[in-house]
Amino acid sequence: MTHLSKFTPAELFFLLRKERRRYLKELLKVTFLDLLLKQILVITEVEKETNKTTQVYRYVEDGPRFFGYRPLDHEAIFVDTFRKNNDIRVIFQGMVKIGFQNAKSFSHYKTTIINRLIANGHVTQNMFQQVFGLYSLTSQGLHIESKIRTEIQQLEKELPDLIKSTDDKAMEILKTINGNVFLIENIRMDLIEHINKAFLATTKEDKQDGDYGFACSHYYGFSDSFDNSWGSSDSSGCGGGGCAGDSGCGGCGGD
Amino acid sequence: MSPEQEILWLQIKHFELDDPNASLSFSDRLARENGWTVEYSLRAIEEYKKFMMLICTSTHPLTPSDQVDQVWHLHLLYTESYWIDFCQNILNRQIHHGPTKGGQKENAKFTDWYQKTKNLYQDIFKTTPPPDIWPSSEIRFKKTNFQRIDIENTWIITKPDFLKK
Repeated sequence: MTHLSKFTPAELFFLLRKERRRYLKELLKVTFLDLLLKQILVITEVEKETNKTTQVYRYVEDGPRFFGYRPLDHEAIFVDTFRKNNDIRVIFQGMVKIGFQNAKSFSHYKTTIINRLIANGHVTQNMFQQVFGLYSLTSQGLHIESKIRTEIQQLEKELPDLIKSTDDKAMEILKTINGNVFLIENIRMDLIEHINKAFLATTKEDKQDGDYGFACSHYYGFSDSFDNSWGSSDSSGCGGGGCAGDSGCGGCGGD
Repeated sequence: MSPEQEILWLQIKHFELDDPNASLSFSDRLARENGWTVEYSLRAIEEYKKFMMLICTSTHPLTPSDQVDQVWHLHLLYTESYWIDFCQNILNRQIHHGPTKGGQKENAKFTDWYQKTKNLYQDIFKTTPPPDIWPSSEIRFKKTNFQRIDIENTWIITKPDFLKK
């Protein structure tokens, strides 16, 4: 999988010219998933007692492979929070909102991804294309595209059987392609389940408190979160006129 | 930090202000009311927790930055979370919020406390407070005049620099 592993899933949407069917949330979802699978970020679940009930809080934190990793510009929207403060853990819903805010818009995020493909010589844009957000693959890009399509077709043929036979080779492939697993048709969830198992096995020693890793249930959960990230949020615990008085303080002492 | 302080800091750090089931969480509301990004709000919340840790370890009064103060103000609105879950169950003490009484003397007092707060921050956390959340005293205590504005019905246009005080 020499070519497939060199690109992120968001980049491949453009190299394989699949992005017309994609929305910003799809690009963000696969980018986030890719970072989880690469273990740059991890999800931790913590149970907390609140008002005599137990609630599960899901956090995003820097992962075992965070340090030393140089995120690409389109990955930085999720990673930068932890570079500013690597001691922080972000509640999952907050992470999704941070992703959307930092991405700004589909066209802005697309430009970020396209610019790297241009810098690498895979994509070209003339002035007219720049204005309308269009692009063309260079001869090098077309060559890579064809190689990647062949690799994907090969994976779609071979992987299901390798997985069924629990061959180590399948694990190796899955670990190499990370979030690009989403480009492989029909067997996505099986693959993710296997990646999860493989990663959990390799990171046992790194575990401290809580159980982190990545599971299908997480995917379904975060998929929903990306879909509903900016839903209605007008409810308030304090009705209009319910709060009287304001401090207007220039400084506040705590004792 | 002493071992006791480290335990307390972990408890404060892991205290959660956001309800994962709320459609408008604490950090969303903080971001919305201050015109901040969610990321900045979460960082300000982290600094608020550090400030509360400093209050628990300090022998003298402390003053937060305006950003941290905004987090504190909002937390005070969530009375059960603030007084019961945080002060009573985590900090094991009541921490009251004391606004300034105004005037030059008060300003000098708070400027001194603000500097002491930043010094203590460095001593305890072994790092400098991030300047975008803990600005200089000049910026922190420059003249401001805030009003609540309904941005659904109002345009806000920034003044040119030469008209700013």
